[in-house]
Amino acid sequence: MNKVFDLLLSKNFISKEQHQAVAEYQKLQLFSIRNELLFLIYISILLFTTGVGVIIYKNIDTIGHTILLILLALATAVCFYFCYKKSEGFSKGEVKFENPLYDYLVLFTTILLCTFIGYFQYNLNFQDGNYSVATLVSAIAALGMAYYFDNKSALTIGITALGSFIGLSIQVQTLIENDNFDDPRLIFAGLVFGGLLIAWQILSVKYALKTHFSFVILTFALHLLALSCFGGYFQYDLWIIYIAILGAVLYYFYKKSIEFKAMSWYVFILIYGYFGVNFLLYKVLDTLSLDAFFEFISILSPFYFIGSIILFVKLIRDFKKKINVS
Amino acid sequence: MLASNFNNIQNHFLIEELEKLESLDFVSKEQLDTIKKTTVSTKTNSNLLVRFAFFLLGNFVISSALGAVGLFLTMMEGQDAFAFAFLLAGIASFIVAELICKKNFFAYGFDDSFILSITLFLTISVGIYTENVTAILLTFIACNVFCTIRYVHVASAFFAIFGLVGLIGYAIIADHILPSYYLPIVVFLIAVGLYFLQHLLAKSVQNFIYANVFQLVKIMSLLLAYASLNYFVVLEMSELLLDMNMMSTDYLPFSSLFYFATFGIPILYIFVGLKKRDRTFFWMGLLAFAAGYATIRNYYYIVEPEIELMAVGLLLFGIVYFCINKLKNKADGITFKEDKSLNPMAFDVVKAILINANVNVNSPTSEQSPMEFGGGGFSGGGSGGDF
Repeated sequence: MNKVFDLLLSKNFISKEQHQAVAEYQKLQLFSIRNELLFLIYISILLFTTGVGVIIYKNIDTIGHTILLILLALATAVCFYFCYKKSEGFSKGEVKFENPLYDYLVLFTTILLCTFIGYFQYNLNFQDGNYSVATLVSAIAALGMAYYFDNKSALTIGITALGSFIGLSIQVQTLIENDNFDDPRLIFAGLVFGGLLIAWQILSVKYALKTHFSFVILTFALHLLALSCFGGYFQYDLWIIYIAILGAVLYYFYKKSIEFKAMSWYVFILIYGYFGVNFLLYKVLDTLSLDAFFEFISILSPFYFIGSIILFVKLIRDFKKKINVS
Repeated sequence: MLASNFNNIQNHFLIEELEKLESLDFVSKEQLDTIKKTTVSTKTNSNLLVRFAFFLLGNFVISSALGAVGLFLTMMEGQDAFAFAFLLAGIASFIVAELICKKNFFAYGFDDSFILSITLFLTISVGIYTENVTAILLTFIACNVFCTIRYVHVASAFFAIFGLVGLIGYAIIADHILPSYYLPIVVFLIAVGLYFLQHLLAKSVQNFIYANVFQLVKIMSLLLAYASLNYFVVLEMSELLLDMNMMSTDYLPFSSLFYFATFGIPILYIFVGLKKRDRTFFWMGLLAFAAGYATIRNYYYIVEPEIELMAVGLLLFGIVYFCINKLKNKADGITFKEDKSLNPMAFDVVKAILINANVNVNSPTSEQSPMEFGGGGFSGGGSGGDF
């Protein structure tokens, strides 16, 4: 690969000194396996916790609940103690552990804590359990961990748990299967929860509290709101309201995506927007019921798609320009 | 046959290389910006998501165009006419792909759909004309190789390798040019051949723009070399393709070779990866090792899965912890220091998805039927009846 740098030099992209510096650097033969090792740690934690979960699930009747509970509590407490000891304490800004391993310990503790809370609840109120309380407590615990130890993984767990408390299952699997939004109440809950997430982000910025969490929170909000709107579109006669809400949401996130320079949001805004416009177009054509027009659609559609491609190329180019300017 | 906008594509990749240098602080931000402004390069989507979205749109264009033209083709009769129609479609895709290329789009998304459909339509056309599998596969490979070279197209290289393996497999299984139990070894030799071919070609700086293609061929050949000798794959494939009903493992020819390769190859990969500082080898080694473990696990049941999960988790944690402590303070060679030219974002995304998918905070609720306990809603998600 060293020849690439010769090519860069011959095209005058880099100066002679820079070329030499790069060559010196290459001689060190640095090979960082940091990401790989951290990823393996992560996998090992997932494997271990899954094993623990399976054992608890299988032995829930044979081993005494109390013993399991105590063991779980002990493990949680020990993990928590180590996290607490090594952390720099709470801060409104971004804090990092000296050793990145502790981020994973925080994640592990959070998972254990949530398991403990759920299990505790399951155990005590065996007859008339209202599990949403356990979910809410889990959510609060996870969010507490996330904010105190500055851990985005714990934040993800916390938001997902809050969603479950409201009755939404915002896991990737259920979102793909899209069996979430059959129930009108859930669609409404999704819209409210999405709105609350946006409010949460605004308040965080206002009080300068962990502003680097904004990206995670808003990503949840964007997808939840858009998918709720589509659910609403298919459910009711009130489709026009949902399309209007979708438009407002997408406009808001368009502004945000420029502010955050977030290409990944912008792409989803375009995709959701394209779906929305097409749904609207279909409804309009359907209401007008121009029978003669439908026969032309198959001939016109290639041009429609070519037009959309040109439009998207332009939109993305403009977006890149805007990001680079601001 | 070379790519028409060779220089622009080269500039595009050189700028990417320069961006890596910038992240390592060898090149200043201003220098990068001025070079970006003054150099003509291609219009490219480096964001895979955007590229995929454009790919879908391109497919919509092609399919809707086929639909529109198909209206006029309904009066056609006969097989040859159909073959001719597909031939025309292939040529039309080629013309569009050339036009897109001329407009200086490279790896933008919709060019991919036209490049791939050249192969698709021409292969279908040959298929209808000849009805001969070997001819079809040969066309498939030839078209893909052409597209790879002409448009510097990575996906075409991917399909070309698939076609090649298919061609050899068909020749051995259906045409019997060799005894069928030689198939794994022939595939292994092909993989080794492909690896050294790309190794040789990648040495020339003229071929720099094909770096991604070479990378793909390298990954594919490493995976293929492992898969062709993996015990599980060989056994299952023999039963599936060759109808060798082997109840006992003793009847499998060269079985000791396959047993050895199942773990020998991953260790070799990891070793080469660390020795030559080659990330591809290292990764494929880790992957192949996991596959090897799964293979052994499939034939020998040792302990309960949950115990195994815990044990493997602990063991893995221990090994990695040991490595980190060993490497923590090393400043050269293999190190634990951050390499800024790498992009850890990919790991972050994978982690976020794994957490979201695996950690089910809601488990006690969703696993029980709401009927049993009462109080829960009936709505799948299973919240309390608070609404």
